[in-house]
Amino acid sequence: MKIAVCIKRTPDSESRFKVASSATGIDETGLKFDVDDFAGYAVEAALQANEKGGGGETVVIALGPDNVQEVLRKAMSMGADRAIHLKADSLPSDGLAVAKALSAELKDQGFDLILFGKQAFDTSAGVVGTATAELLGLPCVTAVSKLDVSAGQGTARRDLEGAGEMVSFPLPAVVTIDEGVARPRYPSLKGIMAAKKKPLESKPAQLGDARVTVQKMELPPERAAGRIIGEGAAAVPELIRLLQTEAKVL
Amino acid sequence: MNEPHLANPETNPSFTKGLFCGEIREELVFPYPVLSAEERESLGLILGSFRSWAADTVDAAKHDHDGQFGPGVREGMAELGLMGLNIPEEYGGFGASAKVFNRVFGEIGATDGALAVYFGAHQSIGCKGITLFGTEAQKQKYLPRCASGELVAAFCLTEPGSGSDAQAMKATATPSADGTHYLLSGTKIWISNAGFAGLFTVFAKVPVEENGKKKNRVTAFIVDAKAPGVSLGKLEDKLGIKASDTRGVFFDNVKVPVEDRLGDVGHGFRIALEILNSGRLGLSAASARGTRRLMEEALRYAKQREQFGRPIGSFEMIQRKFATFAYETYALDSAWMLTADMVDRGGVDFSLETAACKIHGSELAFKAASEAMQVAGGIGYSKEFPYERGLRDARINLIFEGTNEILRALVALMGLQQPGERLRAMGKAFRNPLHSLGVIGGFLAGKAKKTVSTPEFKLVHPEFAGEAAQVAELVKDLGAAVERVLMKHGKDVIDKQFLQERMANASIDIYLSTAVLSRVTAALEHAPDSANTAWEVECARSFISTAYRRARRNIRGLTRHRDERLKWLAERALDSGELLPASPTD
Repeated sequence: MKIAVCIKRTPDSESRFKVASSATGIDETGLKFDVDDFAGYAVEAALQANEKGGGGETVVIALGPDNVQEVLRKAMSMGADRAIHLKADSLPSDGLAVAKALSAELKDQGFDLILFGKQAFDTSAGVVGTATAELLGLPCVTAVSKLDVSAGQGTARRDLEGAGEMVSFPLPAVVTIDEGVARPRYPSLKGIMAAKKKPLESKPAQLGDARVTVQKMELPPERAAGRIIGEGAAAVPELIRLLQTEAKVL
Repeated sequence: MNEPHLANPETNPSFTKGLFCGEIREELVFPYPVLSAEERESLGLILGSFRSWAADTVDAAKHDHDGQFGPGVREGMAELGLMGLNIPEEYGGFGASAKVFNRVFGEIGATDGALAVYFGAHQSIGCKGITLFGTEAQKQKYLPRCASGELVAAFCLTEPGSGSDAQAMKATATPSADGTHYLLSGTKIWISNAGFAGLFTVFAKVPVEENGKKKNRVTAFIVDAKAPGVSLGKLEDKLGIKASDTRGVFFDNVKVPVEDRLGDVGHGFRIALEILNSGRLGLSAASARGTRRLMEEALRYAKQREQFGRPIGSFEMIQRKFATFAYETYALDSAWMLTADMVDRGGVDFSLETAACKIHGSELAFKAASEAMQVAGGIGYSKEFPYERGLRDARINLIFEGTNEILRALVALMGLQQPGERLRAMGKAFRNPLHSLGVIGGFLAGKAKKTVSTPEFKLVHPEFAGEAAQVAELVKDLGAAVERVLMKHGKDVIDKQFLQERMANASIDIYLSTAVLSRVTAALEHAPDSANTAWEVECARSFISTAYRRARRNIRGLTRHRDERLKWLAERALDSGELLPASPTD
């Protein structure tokens, strides 16, 4: 099966973030970047689908400046067969602009399955996968936690609040992946070596117009310092009163 | 016979040997090494894989408690490919540079000391001999299986009667009458990985006849752990690194095919030294990373633990500890990385530098574990927290892969070789002056030159000109003091270990200071305005001023000391079996 996985390079979620001096993005100095968490699950899902199907090709695609090649090589060291880098000076905030570039690349390549993470850790927009499906005119299943594909047909489980939903769909299709589908494998040393020899094609991204731009980014306001109301049982009534009237949580 | 060395002391250039001659061989230590972009990316992936895997699989406290690795740990190391990290690519390994290998070693060591010993005993020393000295056939036969983890390797040098004195070994390998194999017999002890091993690198003496005299020549062999006649002793119950499988290994007339002899007959000792020379660098990288990890644990505690209404980290006695280990570990990191680059560059004699890193690193990590425990107070002493395990695990590093004592003697005596040869050549020359005018003239010229031009650093960043001048002054004074020691004691210096220890310590501090100068220069040149560089500058200044004072004291102690008194006390204790005179309560 020929599977494309569109992945994004995002900062490690355990980093400490600062707003950049431009106030429209984060300060990237000292941050560690990696394959986005959900995209990592998508890569794993693709590799497992092809391992189960006894062959095929897994192609990873990322859009952005040259540094996205790192995450493409990581995906290849996990086992993807080749990579496509859609070159752009920066990644637009408008998911539709990105989806246009991806669909332009994906449309005539005969992919049976196109995977995305359900959303990226940094923007949490969840737009690019669904928009790409729309532009390609393909069925789209979002937030999939279990995926089975074979011979022109796919089934997937979507975890809803308190319930699960099983869906089926014809291939080709676009599927966005939630965690739970499979733990991404660790690149082995052999995989890392092999990735250096796998093809990585770099070409200009045909981005659409970016109509959404970030005007301002700000951190949540700092929490006010805690207050000690009193000690022991005597303080409880006052605490309850404040929780009801001031904090309004009771 | 020493003439070639004398005529061309740069044949095998060594930075530290230069220090003993009062020289700064700056080209060997500048510019500070950097990882290529490709290496940096691979290293990031390897560390990322190891960390994710270890977080799921490696429970160091449980390994310590159980005295064995948990399920999937050794298999996981193999599946990740780590067992072949420094085995060349053409034999199925990753072919990591020494820089990358030792950084990964450090990460493993900071995660689980016993696992680092498993990893290091296999690759740093266990099968390293085959990589360095094996024939093509031996490499083809063994290395791919070592790289895959199918064959775990172990290094068998130490014997009951032969520890630091490796030449005293008793194990023998006698050639069979038909010349097809050797019969290996002997006892090896303290063998890390013994119980896991599929192959042993074993050192034994081969009887030979030279000029009609019978001699025994130390020779290296690759021995199949399953060969008849190989047996294992019981698992040692150790202070730390408990999951590391340490045992005696017994060889009773084990048939070793001649094609499994590693190197030539009589080359075993040199092979062992070469393996250990690069092997011990891993210990220093693990010491650096382990120090950082345990101290950071203590940092978190010091921020959160309050006494007298404030975090204990705000008290200066606690702050002094963090500051000390910040700059000492900075120096260690600077030095092991610089030394690893010497290994990668090739053509440089790095034997004294790896010894310096091992000595400084092992002692630093042990002290750090003790001080981290001190910061944590009572809970530091509890098995619920990692401090006491860190303390026990770190202790072995002062002992194995060459005790710190034998390594200090090595640094001093190897360091003394060149100045000693110059003086000896002088002595010989004066006995036969007509034939040796060139030698005398050359030596006197060198001496005259030395008194005029003092050693100096030319490549250090101007911001560190003051520190560079201080270090250069140490080099000059060490060179001069070494010469005085040699003039006074001649070859008796071999027994002057009080002096050797000081020389070694001074040269180690000078080497570390130099590594710091090199690294901070690179930081100031490449990223002068970064906050990280400013932090580095502070570490560098603090280390060099401390190391300067230590080295000063050690150099002064080469000519002014109270060693006779110390010797008297030691010998009195040794004679009587009592450490000190009766106490008033006895």
